[in-house]
Amino acid sequence: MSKLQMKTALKYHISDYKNTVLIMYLCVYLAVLMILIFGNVKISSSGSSVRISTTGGLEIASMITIFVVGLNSFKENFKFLSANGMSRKTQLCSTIASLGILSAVFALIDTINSIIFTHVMVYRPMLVQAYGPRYGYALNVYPFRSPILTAQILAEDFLWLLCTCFFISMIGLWITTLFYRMNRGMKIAVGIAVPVLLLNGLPYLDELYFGGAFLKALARAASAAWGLSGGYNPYIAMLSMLVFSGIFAALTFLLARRAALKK
Amino acid sequence: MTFAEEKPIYLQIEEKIEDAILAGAFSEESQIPSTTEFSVNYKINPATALKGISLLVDSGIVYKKRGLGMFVCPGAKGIILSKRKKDFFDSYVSTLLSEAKKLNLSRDDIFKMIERGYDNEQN
Amino acid sequence: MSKIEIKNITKTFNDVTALKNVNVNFEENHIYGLLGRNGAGKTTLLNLITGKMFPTSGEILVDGERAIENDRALSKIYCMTELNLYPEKMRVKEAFHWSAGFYPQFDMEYANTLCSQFELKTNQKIKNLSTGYTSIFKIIIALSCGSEIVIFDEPVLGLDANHREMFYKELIQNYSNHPRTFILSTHLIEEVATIIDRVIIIKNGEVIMDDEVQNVLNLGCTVSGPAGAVDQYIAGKKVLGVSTLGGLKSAYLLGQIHDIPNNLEMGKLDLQKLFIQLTNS
Repeated sequence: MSKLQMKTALKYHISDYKNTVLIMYLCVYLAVLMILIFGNVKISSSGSSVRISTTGGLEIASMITIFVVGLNSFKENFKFLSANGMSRKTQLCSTIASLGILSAVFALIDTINSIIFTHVMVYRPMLVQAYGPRYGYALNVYPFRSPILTAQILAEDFLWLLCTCFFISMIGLWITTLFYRMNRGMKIAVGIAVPVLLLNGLPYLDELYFGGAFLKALARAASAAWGLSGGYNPYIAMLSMLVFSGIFAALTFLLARRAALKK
Repeated sequence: MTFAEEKPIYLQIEEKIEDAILAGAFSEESQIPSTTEFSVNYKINPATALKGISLLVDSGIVYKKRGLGMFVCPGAKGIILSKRKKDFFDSYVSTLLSEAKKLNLSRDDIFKMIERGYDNEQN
Repeated sequence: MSKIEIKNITKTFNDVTALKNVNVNFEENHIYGLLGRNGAGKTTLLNLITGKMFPTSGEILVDGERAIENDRALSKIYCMTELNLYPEKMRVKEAFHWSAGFYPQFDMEYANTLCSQFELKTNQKIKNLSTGYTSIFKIIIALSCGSEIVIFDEPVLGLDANHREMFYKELIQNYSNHPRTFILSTHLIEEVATIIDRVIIIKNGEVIMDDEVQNVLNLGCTVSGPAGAVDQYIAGKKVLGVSTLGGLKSAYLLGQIHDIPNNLEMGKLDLQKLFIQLTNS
């Protein structure tokens, strides 16, 4: 693996992300501005207005964005990097590494944003929304105040967001690579069959044969993997997501290994 | 400049440079263009240009000054002239005679034509 | 200086065999002409060399190393293809910048000089370039990247006569200054016949010719004259093809002839004519 190639490829990927990151945060800040301006409710009798809106989880923007970035991380890069003499192995390593860096950037900015948002309005970061009790914040209770972001929360917030964004980007990357390898017939078949099977077929069969037990077990397993059963432990989630990321990355490698450059 | 199909290009290059020397375009002891310049100008492979120039070196028509390039040897004109005179029969006379044969021209016809040629020149 | 060895390469697509047991070497210090009719397998061979696809069997070595998924081998080769591999929104100067990152010997000054020579504005988006200027853009990168092996696949597509002349002259100058391995794959045989020094002809997925141009030009000749006399003369000889114009017949023969009857004319077979005769059928 050539160091020079990796370095240049990383610079290339990152330069590609700059605009996306800028625009996304612009939208996020705009949204916050809207909430601040319009999120007030007037109480008629005394004539004063009370800010009773509460928001949270704006990190979802980063997650959606990085998923889309992942979905765009194969075809164009494959053509361009192949034209510049890079093996598929090295190409993928650079893509995955750059998605890791992007995840870290999102995680960092989102954590800092959480500090800002919790001070200008009532805001709960996603981590607190999901793992609240760990930090002394009850779930499913309407919050009237922002949580106080301790060093522990901030550190775990950053790490958890990092793992989540990376995991989501790996899914996007895997999906787009899978579709690249498929011919048109397969794409149509998968595009129809997968949603139908997952949303209709699976629940139906599950109900028929297992009385719904399979999906219940799946839900329990997912809950456990995300550290949400019998406790609220984000570190278990981080570990699970890293493992799953590794699996998706490995699957992507297998798909890309024999990919031929198409016209 | 296009190349006739008959002769290998490197021989044609040799010929072109000889012609240039005879015509005075490259005077004796002056530098001739480099292999690169010849190959770019005539759009030929540099190895071909080099082959042609090497023939000239072998014939003593040009020589190499280390670090500077190729130069025309003194007396090159004379060498070229005597070389061409030797080749004159093969290059021109044989061809003339075989074409004459095709056209059924006799020996006398040829002599008369040659005389006519000289007369035209004098006028 | 690097060389490529193609060993027993076969490539099949479903039930079509694009290349059959191809064995050929590309050595340093030569300008190769890779010739073949449409669909003969030239582009497939180049795609295999550059790792864009994988052979069905056989191997490709660059300086003795297997080229498959090999960064070191792949970075020694630059290939300008017909395909458009650059991101649409990328500008010419950005493409140069990245190429310089991937090919450390990229000569940016030279690239910019070529841009002014060919009148290519570096600020343009690649997708907005015309066919001709897309070729020019790719040619400039190929000439500037400084890699040991440079492949030109249909380099003059869309180029006007002036630019074609400029390209060939620049190619020769470049090669002369930095001798390495150039491979020109083209249909314009007459134009490159004097520039290449080795020629490789592919027909129906097989290499039918791999030799120095000088030897190839001596391979054949034409014999023309009255049809009857020509037929009589060529009986028993290796004939590549014939063409008839009324009573005048021309035959293209493999091999040299030394004694020709008076009523017949002998001529040389130039590279393009030889190619056509060899690949007709």
